[in-house]
Amino acid sequence: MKKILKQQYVLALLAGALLSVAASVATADDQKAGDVNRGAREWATNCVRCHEMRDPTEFSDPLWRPVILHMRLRAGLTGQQTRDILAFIQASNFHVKAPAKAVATRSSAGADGASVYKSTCIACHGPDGKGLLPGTPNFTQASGPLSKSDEVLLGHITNGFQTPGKPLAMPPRGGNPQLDDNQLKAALAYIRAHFGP
Amino acid sequence: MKFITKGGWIRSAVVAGLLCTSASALAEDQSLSDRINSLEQQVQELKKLLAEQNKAATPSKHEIATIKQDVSEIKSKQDEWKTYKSVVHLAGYGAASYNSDAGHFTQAQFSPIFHYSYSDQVMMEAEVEMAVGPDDEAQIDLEYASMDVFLNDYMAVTAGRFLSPIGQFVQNQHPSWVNKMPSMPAGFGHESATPVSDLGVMVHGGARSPVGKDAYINYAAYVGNGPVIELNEDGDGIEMIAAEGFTSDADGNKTVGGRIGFLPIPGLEIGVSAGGGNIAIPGEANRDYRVYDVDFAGRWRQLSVRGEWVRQSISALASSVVPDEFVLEAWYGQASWRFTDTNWEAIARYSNFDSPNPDQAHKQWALGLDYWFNSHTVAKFDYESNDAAAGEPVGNNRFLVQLGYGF
Repeated sequence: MKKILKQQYVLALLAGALLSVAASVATADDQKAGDVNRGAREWATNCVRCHEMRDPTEFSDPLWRPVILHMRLRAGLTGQQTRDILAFIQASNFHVKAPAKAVATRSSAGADGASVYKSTCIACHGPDGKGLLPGTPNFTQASGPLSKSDEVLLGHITNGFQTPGKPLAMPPRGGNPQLDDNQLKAALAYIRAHFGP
Repeated sequence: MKFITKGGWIRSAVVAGLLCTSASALAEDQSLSDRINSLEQQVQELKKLLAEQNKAATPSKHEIATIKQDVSEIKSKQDEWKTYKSVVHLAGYGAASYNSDAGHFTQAQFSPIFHYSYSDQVMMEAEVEMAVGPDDEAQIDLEYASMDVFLNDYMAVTAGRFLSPIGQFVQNQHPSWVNKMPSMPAGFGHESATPVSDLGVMVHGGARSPVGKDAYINYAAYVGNGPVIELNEDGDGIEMIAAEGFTSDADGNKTVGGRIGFLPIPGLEIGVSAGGGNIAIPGEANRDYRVYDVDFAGRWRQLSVRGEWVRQSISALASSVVPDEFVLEAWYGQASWRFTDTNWEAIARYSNFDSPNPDQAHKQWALGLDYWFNSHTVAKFDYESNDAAAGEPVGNNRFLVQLGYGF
């Protein structure tokens, strides 16, 4: 009995010490706002560990907050990963038909398409353009999306697009409202140059 | 005598012609003039009308100020969600199934999950499982009910009844829209080799791994009331190690345990779990309770693989009414393939449950085909080939069809 009590006291002391340390820990990563680009990658790689990808348009912005907090607990995510994923989802839950306007007001002439692809598009379309998630198209196929004109593809990228029957929609501007039209054109040029059949 | 000379006729004709022309021109001039006057009048009227319209369209300073205030109020309303601290959300899942071995529909389940979050600091959550029980009565169970406090980016504290963090299947794979098969793997779930839940306190979270570029770790550590030894009807054997988050703690012993998960690359997770403590049948001396688990899950494009091994044990005690060591051990491996450009997914699973009780132990091969209506609604078609001791129902082969839905 004494041994049991002693064990429990030790456990309680250890737990209290651990909690005290934890509560006082504050690093530079704490309180950083969510980043849409990082969020796209975290969303694409973490959610699929357990279940099918839920469509960002499924819930409104406020309702995504407790959902993502619940997922933080289930998936063992850090607070930063949680904020990043929430930022991406809340930027992506437009209705696909709504035209999107870029938030950026400065022209980005000479935008780097590779940089845009590798920071935003790659989360779903993959490093080889063949698609990482069920429903994402294969750019390398001759009959794939690159068989369409630039005008059509830019419309899809700008306004979002969902192939009928596919489980997920591509959000407007890849879920990153900071991208302006020049950057989207540069990304498309990069996609054609590197993945075109 | 000629009255008018020839020249005079010519001159007269010319003059007459000129006079006619002039008269005609004068008439045309008048017509043009009238038309010009009419057009000028119309232009004046249009100018007047335009001036009136412009005057009406130009807002006054007061009107501009009012519009600005209205816009500001509307914008603040749209942004209010960002400052709402309390959000209540209802989630959950449900399922309905047909079992060919029983020859009828065997499952109707509805499990609402209540979420309440306050900012990103606190969450309360609870899952109620409602189903039609084997006796056709409504069965209502509280799967979990807990309060979570997020201390920082790397640690949350959970108190209450929580799903066991031992392994992955119980905590993350059991909902009907997540589990790709209509049934649990042999030995997993309620009354099996896996602890289901505990009632106590848990700390858990995640962090970047010190090893690996994009690697992460996650962890959980808990202390709870622990499992209970359930004896069979005759009282001469152990039926089950029941780890279901009881509020009672008849043996006065606590159980500690936890899991560490390692994600070396995106899409792959490997976990190791362990737990233990003392356990006793009331009135008897303590015995050792141990649980070990290894799990993995990986996804690459359309291929998804996962597996888990778990072992729960109670040590021998010579003075007990059930003196022998009691061990429950189970494992499963599952692979699934999502067919490109379709909503179909094929699944293959093998599972093995070792138990001293012949009505529990069995091996199982399962092949399934899922149709995903969307990411959280699935129809599952599954055939299971079971191998158990002769005459045991768990050894029957069966077709299962299930409609699972998550919300």
